[in-house]
Amino acid sequence: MRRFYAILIAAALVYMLISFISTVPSYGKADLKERVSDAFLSKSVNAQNTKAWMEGKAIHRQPAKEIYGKKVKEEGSANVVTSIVVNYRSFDTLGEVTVLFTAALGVGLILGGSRRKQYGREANFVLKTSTGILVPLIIMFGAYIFVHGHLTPGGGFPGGTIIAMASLLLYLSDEKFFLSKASTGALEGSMGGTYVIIGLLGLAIGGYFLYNFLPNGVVGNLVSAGIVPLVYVAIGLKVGAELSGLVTDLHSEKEG
Amino acid sequence: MMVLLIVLPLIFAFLAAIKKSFSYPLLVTSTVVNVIIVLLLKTSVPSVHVLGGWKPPFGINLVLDDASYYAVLIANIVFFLVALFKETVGKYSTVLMVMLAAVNGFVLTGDLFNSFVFLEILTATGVILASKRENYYNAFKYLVLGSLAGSMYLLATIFTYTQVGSLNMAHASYFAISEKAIVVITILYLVGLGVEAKLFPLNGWVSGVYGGNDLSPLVMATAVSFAALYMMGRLFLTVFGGYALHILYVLALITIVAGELAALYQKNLLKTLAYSSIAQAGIVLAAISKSTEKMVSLAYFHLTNDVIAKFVLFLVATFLVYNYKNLNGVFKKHKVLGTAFTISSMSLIGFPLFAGFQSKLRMLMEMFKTSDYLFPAVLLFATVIELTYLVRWNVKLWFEDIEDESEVKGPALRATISIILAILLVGIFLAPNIILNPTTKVAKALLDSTSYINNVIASSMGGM
Amino acid sequence: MVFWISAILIGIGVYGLLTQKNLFKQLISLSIIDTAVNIFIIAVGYVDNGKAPIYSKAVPKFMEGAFVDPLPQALVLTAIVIGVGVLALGASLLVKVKEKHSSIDVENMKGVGE
Repeated sequence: MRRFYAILIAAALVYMLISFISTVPSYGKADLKERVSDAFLSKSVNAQNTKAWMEGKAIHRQPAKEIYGKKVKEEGSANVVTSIVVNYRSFDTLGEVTVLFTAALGVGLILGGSRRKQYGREANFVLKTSTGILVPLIIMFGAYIFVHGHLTPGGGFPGGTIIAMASLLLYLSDEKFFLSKASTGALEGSMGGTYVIIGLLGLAIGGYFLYNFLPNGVVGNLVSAGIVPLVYVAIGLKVGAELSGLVTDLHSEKEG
Repeated sequence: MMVLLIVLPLIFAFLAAIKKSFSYPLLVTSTVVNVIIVLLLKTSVPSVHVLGGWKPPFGINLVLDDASYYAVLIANIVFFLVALFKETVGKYSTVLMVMLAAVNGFVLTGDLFNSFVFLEILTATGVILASKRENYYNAFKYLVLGSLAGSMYLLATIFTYTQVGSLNMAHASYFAISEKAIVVITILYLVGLGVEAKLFPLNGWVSGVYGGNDLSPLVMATAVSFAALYMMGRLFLTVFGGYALHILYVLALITIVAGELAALYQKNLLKTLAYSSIAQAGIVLAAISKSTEKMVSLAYFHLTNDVIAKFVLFLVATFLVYNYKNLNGVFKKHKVLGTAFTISSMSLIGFPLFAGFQSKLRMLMEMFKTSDYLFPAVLLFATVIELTYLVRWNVKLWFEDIEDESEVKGPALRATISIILAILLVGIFLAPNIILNPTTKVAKALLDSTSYINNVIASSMGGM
Repeated sequence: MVFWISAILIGIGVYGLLTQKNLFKQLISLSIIDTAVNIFIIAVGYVDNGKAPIYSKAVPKFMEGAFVDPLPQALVLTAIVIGVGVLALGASLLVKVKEKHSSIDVENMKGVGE
């Protein structure tokens, strides 16, 4: 009986979703001119007139504007997804960082471990040796990913996750390895604080929270896009510390 | 300025992660500072903060109007009061700071996706609070329902994006979405918000979470519940004006009846109050779904009364439940707490002399005027049941023979706060306009989507 | 087609959530719903023959239809991270549920009554 109702509910939901899908432009036929993304892609948000845009009137932008290798006044990252994540919609990202912070905090509070859990098995020679070689490389790769977040695919979240993988590898290869709560907590707290302080500096200088108060530079250069790389470095380190803390919590147990 | 309400608790929470021992003082500081900021913001209503200087609908914006101001005011005061109880807060100060930021962000934001992010933070922090006192299974139930709701909310948000082309609430409100699409969008939003707003049949988590420990009901039954019910009004009245309200109405009526009946058969004090909280949320939702200025105003008036009363009731009940094995006659030992409890429960039932009377009576009169008799009938039925179980509990707690002889020292702070709030309930009965005036403004702001849109558009002209 | 797949996956997830008695399977159902929603979001932004929205020497200027919609990708990034956070919380709760009630199957759990 339970299964019957479940099928009924699920079917009703699917029917509703499918009936909605008929109102969406079919796959691959999305028209970006009707969406805000058009202004993000052409980096012309400042040139738009909100009221006219909302009324669906013509969009104000020069056709085929050269962007790569040029100085663009509005926004300077070559990767448009990054420019949305850390500049146009940076506040979402602050929230996102907070969710991860909350999750790490919650796992710590719920599991409440303070000592390394012992599984009583020894890692073999291959794992131990390769860990020693791989860990620095993994950390370097993670750092590369988040430092270049505004130029290439990637960014703070993938970069931080890669760094956390290094600490997971250490946990798997060494029964005694243990990251103290104080160190990961200090890194994650200070990096989260850095993000907010960058935002508050923007509020003080430009009058808007998370305002980009640094020069944008040339699109495609490593030092460009104003606060974007700074924020991504902070996020990368924070996510790395947070996920390492999470791994630590899963590998620890209560005293006594 | 208003962005500080969200950002300051966050930065304090990050600082608390560095040095754990500072977390409680930081919590108290952040709540005090937030209350001060809210009071200072009074003069800048209505205003819009454009984050990063990216004008709407491209960037994210925060909207402070009469409605969101009132919700933020209530939420911050509640958090301030909760933060005073050091023992109750315990290890959870950092979580509470994040939650405070999330409540403020959820209420203030003018962007659909941003509100989804804050909703998820609310759920995550709520789960952590619920897991206090080893209440893991109930916390898990809440997590499952909460994140299912989050997924539906996200789906509705992206559906809106495919129709409107932006994620901005003002733009979504301005844009004429096709009939076929808006029905699906509003139903998904109903599911998404229904979990936090305790709408039937998505409220299975409430009794376990409110009845499981001494911290989560204090925050979740008051501040979080207020924020969720505010968002109901914002989305269904301002943004998608008029759609899915009849579904909301029917579900709300079922919520009232189901909540009251469950409360009647409940033997556990905290769970009784939890079910009563569900029923009250149903009353508020039913009144919101009528979408007239009078009824919406009364809905938030009733919600305010309920929040105050529930805060007192949970404050007293959690103290009793976690200090005594048997509750018979405990009020003989704690007369002040008992008086506050009785006053609040009278207000909940709607006796004359207490605030609940004003809101319930006015609702009934208003509904009779529009000759809708279904809601008044359900409301009266609910009142009768409330009368039964709340009087039963009062009699049990005051007059039955004491079985648990142990005596816990009277908590002075708890008694003071609960008696002050209880007196406030009497005050609201005598001068209902101190609450009714602001809630009328709330209703006006929620129903007037034109001026909401114009505020947001104007903010994009002023700046860069 | 992709839209249909994601709608059906959501249906499967909801069915699993309603029928499964094992709490971990419920968590997996949630994860399926999450993934399905993410697939939908990404699919909404796809443009035929569109490239990844990154300016480079090969694509130095803005042209209509050259890029896929970047906004859904940014949203999915956020949604994925949120999903991970919730999953981690749920999993750690289950560890404790197992410790306290000696099972994570609703029917075999001890000490969960009213």
